[in-house]
Amino acid sequence: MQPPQSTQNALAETDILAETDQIVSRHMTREGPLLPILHDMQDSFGHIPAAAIPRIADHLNLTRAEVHGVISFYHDFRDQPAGRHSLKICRSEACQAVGGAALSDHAKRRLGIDWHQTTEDGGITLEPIYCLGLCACGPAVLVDGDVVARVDADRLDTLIEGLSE
Amino acid sequence: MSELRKIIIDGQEIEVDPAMTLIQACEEAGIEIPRFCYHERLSIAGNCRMCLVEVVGGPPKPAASCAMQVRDLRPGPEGQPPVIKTNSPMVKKAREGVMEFLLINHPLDCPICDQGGECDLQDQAMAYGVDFSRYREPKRAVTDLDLGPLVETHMTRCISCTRCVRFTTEVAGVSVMGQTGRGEDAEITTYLGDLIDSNLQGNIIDLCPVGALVSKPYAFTARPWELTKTETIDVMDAMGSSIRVDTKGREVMRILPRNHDGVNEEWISDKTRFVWDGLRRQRLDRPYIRENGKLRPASWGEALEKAAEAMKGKKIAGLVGDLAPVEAAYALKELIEGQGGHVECRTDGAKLPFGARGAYVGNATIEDLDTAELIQIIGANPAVEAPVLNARIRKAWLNGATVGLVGEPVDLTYDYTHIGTDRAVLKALADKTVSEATREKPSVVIVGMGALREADGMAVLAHAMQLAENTGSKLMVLHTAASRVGAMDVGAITKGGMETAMDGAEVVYNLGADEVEISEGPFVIYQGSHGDRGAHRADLILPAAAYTEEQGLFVNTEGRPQLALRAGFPPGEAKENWAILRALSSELGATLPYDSLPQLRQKLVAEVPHLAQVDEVPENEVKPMKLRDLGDAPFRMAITDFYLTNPIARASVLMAELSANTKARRERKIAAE
Repeated sequence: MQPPQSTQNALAETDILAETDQIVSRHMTREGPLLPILHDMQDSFGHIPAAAIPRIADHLNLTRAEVHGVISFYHDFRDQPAGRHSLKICRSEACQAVGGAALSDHAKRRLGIDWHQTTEDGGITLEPIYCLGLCACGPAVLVDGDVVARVDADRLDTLIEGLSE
Repeated sequence: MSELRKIIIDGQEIEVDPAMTLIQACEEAGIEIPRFCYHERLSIAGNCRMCLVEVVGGPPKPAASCAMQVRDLRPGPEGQPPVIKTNSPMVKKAREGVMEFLLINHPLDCPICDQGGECDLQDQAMAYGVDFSRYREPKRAVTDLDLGPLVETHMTRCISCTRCVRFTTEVAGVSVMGQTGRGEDAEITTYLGDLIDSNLQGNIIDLCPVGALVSKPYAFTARPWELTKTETIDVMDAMGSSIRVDTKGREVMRILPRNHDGVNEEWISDKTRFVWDGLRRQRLDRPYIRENGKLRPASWGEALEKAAEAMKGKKIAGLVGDLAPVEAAYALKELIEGQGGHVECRTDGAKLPFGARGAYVGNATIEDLDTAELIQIIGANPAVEAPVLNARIRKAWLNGATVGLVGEPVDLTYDYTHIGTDRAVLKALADKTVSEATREKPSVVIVGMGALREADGMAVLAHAMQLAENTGSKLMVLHTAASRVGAMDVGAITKGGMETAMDGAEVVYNLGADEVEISEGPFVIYQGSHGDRGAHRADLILPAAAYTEEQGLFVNTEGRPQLALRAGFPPGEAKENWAILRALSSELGATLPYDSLPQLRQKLVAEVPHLAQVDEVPENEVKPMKLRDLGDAPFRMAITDFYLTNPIARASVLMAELSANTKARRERKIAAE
């Protein structure tokens, strides 16, 4: 499936690098600047463009492999732009035990996509997440950063409709 | 250079200079030949035999590619270009044979060897070694040498490549190492067990392809793959040698040279290489305020407030120390001059004129020394003031250059004509008319700080210029402080020098100038990295980063701006130099117009454009100055103790030991005579 065409994708490489330099220079005086830089990159681009990785590595005197290692270690860092909204469904044991798996299947069917994919209109990205700390009132989901508990198929549909508006 | 010759290497046809050796021609073609004894900056020994290649049509045996020149190759029967093979079965078999012999007596102690991970023998055994040994006899063992506190020896590991012998004799100029015995009994030794009396000896550690010569201070502290490597610039002397600082976490574990043909080739002095233990000791890690004669720890807020209070409305003198980056000197100048004070960087009293860059930098580059046929040194001892530069002069001398010295007769590791020790000789030299033939020869006049910092420094400089003018020479001003040229470039000086700057000063802002005696009276704010002389005199201490802990520009003695990168973070609450000055400026209500180092640099470059040309030497014009009367005294040297020239070196236990050893050795020599 094609990643949605957003303005970010159209960004020229020079613009990406210029913005990267800006972000890096903000954090260069810190000790252990990589994670703050990556967070800012994700905030400003919506993902971490592959073109920026050598530049970040260069500034921080790290190897490209080290930067890639950090990005791929944390699932929250993306290498592709995501949709406008994010829907994360808890996949850990407690939620699965109270219908989380069925809810996930429903979500996939309803949106017509699999994990880590984005709906064709670029509206919603579906992602698994592992334990939101709401095991007592599962299944739990995370909608654009807000936690919603005791979600069933109907409730999920409402949530999705709310996002689509 | 004669005509290029066509040769074919592994089927690839290239044209090379016939004077090249085969190993160089292969390198040109992008093919790396394994080697142990060959080193492009040393003479050719041809004794390890690892670089064997097949010369088609030549004698039916492999040839050592390091010892054969392209012009020695015979063309084919119809005049076809000669053919070399570097990966034929014959070559592989030959190299495997060589490797088997090398490994016969080499111990299998890689797990406890410091060279592990960066060992040529280890790497090449991966390519050419076999997995077992046919040798059943006991391995030989060799007694270790005592080479002093810097180089640790494990002579059993030695493969007799003789790189160390060639380096010490050719580059360092001490003929104390050699090889004795033959066959299995061949050993590298020093003459009568002597130490190597050279301040370049650390380089044999890098040259040793195996773990026979390793660094004693670094022994068993780290493995190369766990170190973060930062390529930066050295500040121990004014050469601005290219170095690589290896850190583990916050600590500098070792310092290695980088190759830079224009500056240090690939050598560094022992002070540069081993000074890092000084970066861990005597550090200022928090601000201090002197109360009732005693220093007490304080917070940054309190210290800056106190500094601003002390400076407001007072007559301020700012001193730029020898290790300060250009940015800090510039920020200090802006801050102090904004308050109506004076800034001075010539803290040793050097009479360097402001404005004309040609006068305080000269117009000779370090590379010019290579081709010079006449070199005249005036009041300098390059062997101590810049050992790596001295190795360059030695190289020129080996190529036939004549070296003259006016000043104290010292050991420069090469022969020179000692023209005299006092200023009268310089006068005579400058007034002499030289023949056209001599004028034609490329030549360099080197003036040292020892000559320029006396009262008649300007006159010495003027006479040196006249000498350069008369003989058609280039002029080199050999600085001893890494910060000096950069600070002069940004104009961190006061007309009239130190005396005018310090005259009636009520507050002295001391930016790491530890070599200066500040008399009783003024309130002293010391900003620096080490608790050295400057901090003892200070009333207020602002802890700052050392040279491995901040980014900064340094301009070397030939006027080449170079960027030093940060390898680690300053300890405790210490901050970067420019940032402290910026923070203080806002406390004073005269905020400097930059919030980040890039902004500062933009402003700096707008004022001094050549600082943007990193790693390029701007051309300077030497305009002869008005001749003044010279004093009547012999020249004195700028540096008396090589190992203790700056606060970092003085904090180093190792440097103290080396200094004491050198002193003891000198005294013993005198006693023996």
